[in-house]
Amino acid sequence: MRSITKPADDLPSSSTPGESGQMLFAILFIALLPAAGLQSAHASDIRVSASVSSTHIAAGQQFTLTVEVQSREPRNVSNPELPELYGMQYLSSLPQTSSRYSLVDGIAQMTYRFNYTLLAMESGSYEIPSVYISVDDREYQTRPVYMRIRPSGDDSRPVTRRTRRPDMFLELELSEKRPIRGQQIVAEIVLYFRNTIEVNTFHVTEGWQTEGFWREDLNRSPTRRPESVILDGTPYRRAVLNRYALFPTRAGELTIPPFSIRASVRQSGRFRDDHSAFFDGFGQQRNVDLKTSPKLLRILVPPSPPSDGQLISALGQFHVERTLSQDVVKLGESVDVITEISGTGNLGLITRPVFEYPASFDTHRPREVIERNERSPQMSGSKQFRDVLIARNAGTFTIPDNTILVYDDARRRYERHILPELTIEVVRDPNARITIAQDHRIRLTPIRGSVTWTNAERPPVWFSWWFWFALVIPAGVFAYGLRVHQYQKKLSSDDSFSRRERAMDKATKLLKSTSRITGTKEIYGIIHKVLSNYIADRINLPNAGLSDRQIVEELRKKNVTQPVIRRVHVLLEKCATVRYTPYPSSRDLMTNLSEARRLISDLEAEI
Amino acid sequence: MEERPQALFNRGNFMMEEQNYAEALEIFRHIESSGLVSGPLFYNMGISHLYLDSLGKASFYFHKSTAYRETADRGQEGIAAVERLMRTRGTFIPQLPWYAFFDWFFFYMNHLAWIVWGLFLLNAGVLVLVAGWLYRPDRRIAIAGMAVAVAGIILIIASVSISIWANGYRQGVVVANNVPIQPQPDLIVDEDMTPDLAYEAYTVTLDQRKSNLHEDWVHIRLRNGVSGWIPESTVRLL
Repeated sequence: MRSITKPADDLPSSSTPGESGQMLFAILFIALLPAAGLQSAHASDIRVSASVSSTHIAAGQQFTLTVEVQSREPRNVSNPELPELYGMQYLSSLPQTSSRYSLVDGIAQMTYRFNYTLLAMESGSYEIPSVYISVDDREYQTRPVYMRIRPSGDDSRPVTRRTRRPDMFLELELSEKRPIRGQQIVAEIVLYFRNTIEVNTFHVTEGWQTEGFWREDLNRSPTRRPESVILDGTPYRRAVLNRYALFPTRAGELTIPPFSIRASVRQSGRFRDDHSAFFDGFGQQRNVDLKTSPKLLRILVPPSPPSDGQLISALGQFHVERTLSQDVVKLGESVDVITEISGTGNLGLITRPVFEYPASFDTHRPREVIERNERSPQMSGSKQFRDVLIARNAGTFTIPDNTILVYDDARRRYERHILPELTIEVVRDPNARITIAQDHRIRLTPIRGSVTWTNAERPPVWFSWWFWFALVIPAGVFAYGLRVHQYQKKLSSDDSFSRRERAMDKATKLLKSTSRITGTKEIYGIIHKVLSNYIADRINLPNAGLSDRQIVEELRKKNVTQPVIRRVHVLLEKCATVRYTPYPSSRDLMTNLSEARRLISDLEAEI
Repeated sequence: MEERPQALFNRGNFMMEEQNYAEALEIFRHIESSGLVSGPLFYNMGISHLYLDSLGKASFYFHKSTAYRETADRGQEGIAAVERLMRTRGTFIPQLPWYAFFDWFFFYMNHLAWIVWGLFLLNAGVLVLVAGWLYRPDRRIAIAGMAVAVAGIILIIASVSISIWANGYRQGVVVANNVPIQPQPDLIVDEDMTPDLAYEAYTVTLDQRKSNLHEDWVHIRLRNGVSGWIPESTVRLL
């Protein structure tokens, strides 16, 4: 927990080097007034601070004192001079040192850090006096740090007033409580756990669906080490597991759903307390499911923008700049108008600014590039829009100035960024030996008069009906021809099939021939022959030597229906017996001829 | 400006006579955007761009005019004029035979004509085959018909396959000068590395399948086989 962040420069005692001789300094100040500007520039660049990991701690517990020097450029920093302490002691006078260089919003920053481990000895309220530190041979001091040490195992607050918290819980911490639409909210998933718990690993168990928010992952920013905090008098360790930038895309009430993790933890302390509900045995490793509570946010609508500028949906602290990729271009070459928006805020939601370009330029589809500062703990970086222009005429052209409006969420007002006008000079290519205007060899004459207009779209050939028609027709003809060909082939090669297929034609032809015959008995003879031959052909029997009884018997074998068999039997018998009748009736003959035709037709369906 | 395309075309031609090529192009573009096009329209647009010293767009429209019978020859003359100018500027690159062969398959083979030929052979072959079976039974006629029909089927399958394959490629014309051809899209190329450059009026073969994977960038191959990525805005697709 950082207790002091104010730089020593802000304090009267630390605004000048050294402490002694204030009167002498006053005189020297007047004498050395011209040099004061330089000194102040040097001093304003450096920030010195001290902080402790926890300001409320129990006797016997360890804590960390951190002395930090921040500067815009590398400095020569010596080890701090440690003050004398009461109620606590240094475990080692040698600090853990670290230095870090970062570039945030285009501003370089160098940070030197000195960490000392201290042990709280006696209960009471104490002050860690100012720490002196030499930077580039000039001395700076931090502000004192005040802290309270309570007796070991004692809690200063009554139990009844304290909120009982579990040994381990997950919290969603937001940087903004009442954001406006499009504003960046840094959401940290923070794990709090007691000192007696070791967290080995964790993994996210469910996807985090932040509907209504455009989300950016900030987990590439430097990971923070767990720090000690006091919550309602109870010491906890606080670890930021994940960090996201959320940008509400609509106004109104939006709910951030729970974030769920499964952590693998172990109870490792020397003692156990009443809240050790996760464990049923000392030192046993367990998987614990944790999730944050859903959070309801009321998203406000940004105020109405002024009318004298162009809105590009930018919300945050941004710097807007417009440049040309080159001021002088050759005819036909492309030149990029680069609009760069850099800073912190809703980079991904910023829309392309629209500018007016001279008519002598062809404009092409612009390009868009986002460069994120991955080390930053919030969404920051730059977004570039490159409008590609191609010069078509030589001369000097001007792109008029423009005003871009950016809503500054820190100041809660619109900021105007004025983009000055740009001038492009378009020259003919000196390396081109000839230009169109001078080339008399070109003898192309425009076409005049009436022309035939067609539709620009030409569908593929397989979308046209004639393609499929021309494919289906030969397929149909081929199928028909193949079938007929195979039928004819079988007729000529298979006797029984041929007899069977031709039986009907043969019988019909013979029956028709009876019209030329006058003798009734002869006609009956033909009917008998037709019927017996037809049946023999259909069921592949020899034509000669078949008795009527055999024919009937064969029909029975072929499962011909009984009435048809009886009719066949009756007709054959009639034909056989009519020979012995002196004068057969011609009416009966006609009836029997018709019966023969019907029978053949009926038999066609059955055999 | 709701007028018949012919009236607008005449007005555009008048502007060309007045040597007001920019105004003429405005009118021609208006016709083009209406969806009605013609070979003379593209040819005249090519000439207008040529006089405005925009070789890339001139070449683009001359190429488009070659697709129409009435302007095919004139379009080729226009392309030749552009190539002459490219030679004088030292930006012309000859085409390698291997890539010329592929370009013929992809863009100049006229897949439709080959498909129609295949359909004709298929129909004729089937008719001869059926005649050889049924009306004048002769084994030799049937075999001849079958051979013709099979040739037709092979031609159709080959033409349709090449047409589908060619659909993955498009011919384009570069409309900007000094465009670095990058090995990867979205890559800032160091000028000291002297990357290959694409100049105005280069005809390029564009790989649509690769280009679809990257927004704003297209994968191209030049006539001399050099391939890489350039911004989509610097190419016009034919």
